[in-house]
Amino acid sequence: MRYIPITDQDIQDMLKETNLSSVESLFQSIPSSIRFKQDLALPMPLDEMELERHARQIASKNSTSQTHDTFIGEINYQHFIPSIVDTLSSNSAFYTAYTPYQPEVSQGTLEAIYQFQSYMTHLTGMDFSNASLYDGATAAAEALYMLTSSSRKKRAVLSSTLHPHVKEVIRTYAKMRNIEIEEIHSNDGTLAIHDAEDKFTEQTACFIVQIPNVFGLIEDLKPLYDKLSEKKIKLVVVILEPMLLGALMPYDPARVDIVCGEAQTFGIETCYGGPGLGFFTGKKELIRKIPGRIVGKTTDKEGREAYVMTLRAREQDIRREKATSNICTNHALNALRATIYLSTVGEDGLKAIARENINISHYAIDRIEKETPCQIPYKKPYFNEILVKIPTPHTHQEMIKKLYEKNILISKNNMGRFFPYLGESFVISFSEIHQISQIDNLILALKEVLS
Amino acid sequence: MTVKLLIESSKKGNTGIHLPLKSNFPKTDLHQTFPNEWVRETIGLPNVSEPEVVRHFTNLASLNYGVDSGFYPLGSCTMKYNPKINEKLANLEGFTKTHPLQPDFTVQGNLYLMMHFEQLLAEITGMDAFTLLPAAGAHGELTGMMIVKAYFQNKGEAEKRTKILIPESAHGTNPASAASVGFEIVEVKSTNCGGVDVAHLKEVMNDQVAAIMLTNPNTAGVFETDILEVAEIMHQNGSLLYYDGANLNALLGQVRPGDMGFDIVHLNLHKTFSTPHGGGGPGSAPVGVKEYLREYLPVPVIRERNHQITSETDQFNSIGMIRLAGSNFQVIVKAYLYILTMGSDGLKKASSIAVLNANYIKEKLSPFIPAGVPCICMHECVLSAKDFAPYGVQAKDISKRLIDYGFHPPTNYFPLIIPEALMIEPTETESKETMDHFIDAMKKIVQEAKENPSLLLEAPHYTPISRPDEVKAAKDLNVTY
Repeated sequence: MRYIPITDQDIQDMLKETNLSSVESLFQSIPSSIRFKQDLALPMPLDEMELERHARQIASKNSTSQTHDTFIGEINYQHFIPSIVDTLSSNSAFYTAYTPYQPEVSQGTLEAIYQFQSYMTHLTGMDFSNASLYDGATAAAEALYMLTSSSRKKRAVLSSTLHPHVKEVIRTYAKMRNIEIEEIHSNDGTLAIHDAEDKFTEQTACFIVQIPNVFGLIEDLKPLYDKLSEKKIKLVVVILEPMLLGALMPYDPARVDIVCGEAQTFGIETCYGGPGLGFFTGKKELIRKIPGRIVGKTTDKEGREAYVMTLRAREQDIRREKATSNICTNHALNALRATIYLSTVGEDGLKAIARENINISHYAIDRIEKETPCQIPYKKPYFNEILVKIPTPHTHQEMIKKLYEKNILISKNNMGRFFPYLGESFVISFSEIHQISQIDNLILALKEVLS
Repeated sequence: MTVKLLIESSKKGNTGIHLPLKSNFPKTDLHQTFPNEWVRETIGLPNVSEPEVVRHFTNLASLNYGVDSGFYPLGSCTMKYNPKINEKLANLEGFTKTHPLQPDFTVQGNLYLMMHFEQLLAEITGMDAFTLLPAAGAHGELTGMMIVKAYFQNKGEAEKRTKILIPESAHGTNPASAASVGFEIVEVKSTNCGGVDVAHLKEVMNDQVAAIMLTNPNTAGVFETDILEVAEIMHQNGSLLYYDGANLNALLGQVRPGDMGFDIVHLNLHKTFSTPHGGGGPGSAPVGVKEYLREYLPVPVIRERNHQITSETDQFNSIGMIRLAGSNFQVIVKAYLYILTMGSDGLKKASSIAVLNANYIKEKLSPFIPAGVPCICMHECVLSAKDFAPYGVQAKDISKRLIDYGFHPPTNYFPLIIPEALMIEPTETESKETMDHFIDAMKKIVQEAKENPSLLLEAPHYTPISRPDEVKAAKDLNVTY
């Protein structure tokens, strides 16, 4: 059989050499009343050619950023991916290995992760990074678990301008441990600082805020730093579009405790939402409490440089129910992709790409505001996306359909569903993949659809 | 010997992309658009050329050992062959270039694949409904424990049902996941075959018990023969059974968790269903439940109405959202294609041969290194190296010496109930010849342990580095350049 290199003759030989009577006899410990004797009701097996045909047929039923001009961001971002990211990450010595428990035969994975940690640390301005987590929302939820358990406080404050998906995941995790959650309201699309006064208390473990926020706006955290440190509240900054960090550092790293989020933007396909790449960076005094793997540099017996998983005593396979988190592995292969991407574009390339995102989005959003009936309700500093309000009586559903007919895809999230005061609205996102002609088409389409 | 970090090769003026970028857009002046102190001039990344990047990562890859390099009998991890066609097809642009926030009608292909996959998993496991959202085994366990909690909350018993039973032989993630969502852990003693000690189970059973988490075959590789009795005890007490699917590869098409009495299961697509482990993720761990728990599954859920498949968030008793977006979709595509390739006969054959291979290795090796438990094993066997203590040799030394013979070591020191454990899981994708080579190597190592133990204690000898100093790594922490 294709994937099973044991022949019928092998089976006979193996049984004979081991004095076993039959393969069936190996299953005798299963009670016969529950033994599954019939066939599983699965489709007839496909050969390679049929399988390829089938997969291509399914894939062809999707619209993609190749078939349509796509202006969707919010949680996953489309950027150009240099071809060597695919070439190098599809080396099977990387992707067919497991967690590097045996460092002597895993230096490739370990050194790649060490560089991933280094890149993320430099990008966020923190002291350390772990080896990655599942995604941006679970990274924020892990920060919540970590900071509430290490402080023994049962309260956390969220910015209401977190993306609703991040907020929902945090709330799912919080309710399991009876962690009380409060939200700070927003004013004109960003945090209403005055609302923080009575919500920050001695019992608050952490404050979680997102940059850029759900509306694409870059929050100014400066007025919060003293308020937080007065009450010993840890500050967690969630970033879902860390491409931003190639051009801007909109917070003071000295005043932030954890920067975590989603790094899919660095060389990983959107691929219908997964797998993504959670990242988790922070201040050194927190390092012994963090979730997930971390790789350290050390030496071997001969004094040669070597890499190894370290601070393992926090982890589930050693500490069991007393572990700092139940996280077992990371998203190593996607961390590798991000490392290859960041190595390839490099310092100067990342700065250029991030700046180009600003150029394109500011050009496009200015035109949307000036030339179409759409409104941009909040005009504050933004990176590559922003909230667009749909003029009445038009609806988001109608926009989706009509723009689709003009070969344009926009987000399925009607922000008015999460923030009723906004009415019909959505977030529009731009990146270096867009050309002027696509922006021209978008403007024309918006004008026609809303005429 | 390691490879030089790319930052050490960095030179101003080098780049791996075309710079300056070609752009037709007007420049935005950062200093006029943003506060001055936000504008960033340095980051800390290297500037290197494309050929340097290619050589760097190709050299790194050569320091790795994967399933494609050779035999990887890492117990509990099911390191089976990762079919290449599935890699290729999961990379079709029709899949990879879709965005999780595209309107449902524009991703009917993805939604069809997910819905169909849920149905296939339900058939294979004997469960009624699946969610594909959890990103990894531990995330699946967390989701399962959240479902347990939500179920008892809805029944008004959440205050009372605070305990989760876990056998002492269990994977570390089990107690960690249950504790993560606020449950107390009660350890259940194991029999000498690693199974649930039913007498002890009855002792610790009371109305505070919410559920038991079980792996079957258990972590000693042995089928839980008392599973029906365990299920009855749990259900009579109003408690649930959670199935950790780490070892499902032993049972595909032979017996289904749903028929054993399990209420919630998680599967590891990266173990049982052949998707690559990626050097430690991404995996994917769908969670299946019996019909009466369907309403607690996380959102979004996939539904079909009027020939349209939709992804919806309005499910009243759902535990809520558990991740940022979608699922680990690309992993799901690979596992789906694997099942379509194998069919019913193929999956049954996979489990039969996985079990045969493990027993073959056990029978051949146990005269030299005794089996850890006196029972028929399923897809993995555990040997105990405790008899080597007089030579100063431990399980890990045998493992390190195996590397010299060209094999990846088995799992060491797990399960905890077996001293000096060497847990060997060959999987069905290994030939008899490969296993014979492995068996010969093990026999030689046993001989070496007795005659020249330093060969083992100083192993491995031919790798780019020898054993790294782990104490130093933790003490003089260096986790970033």
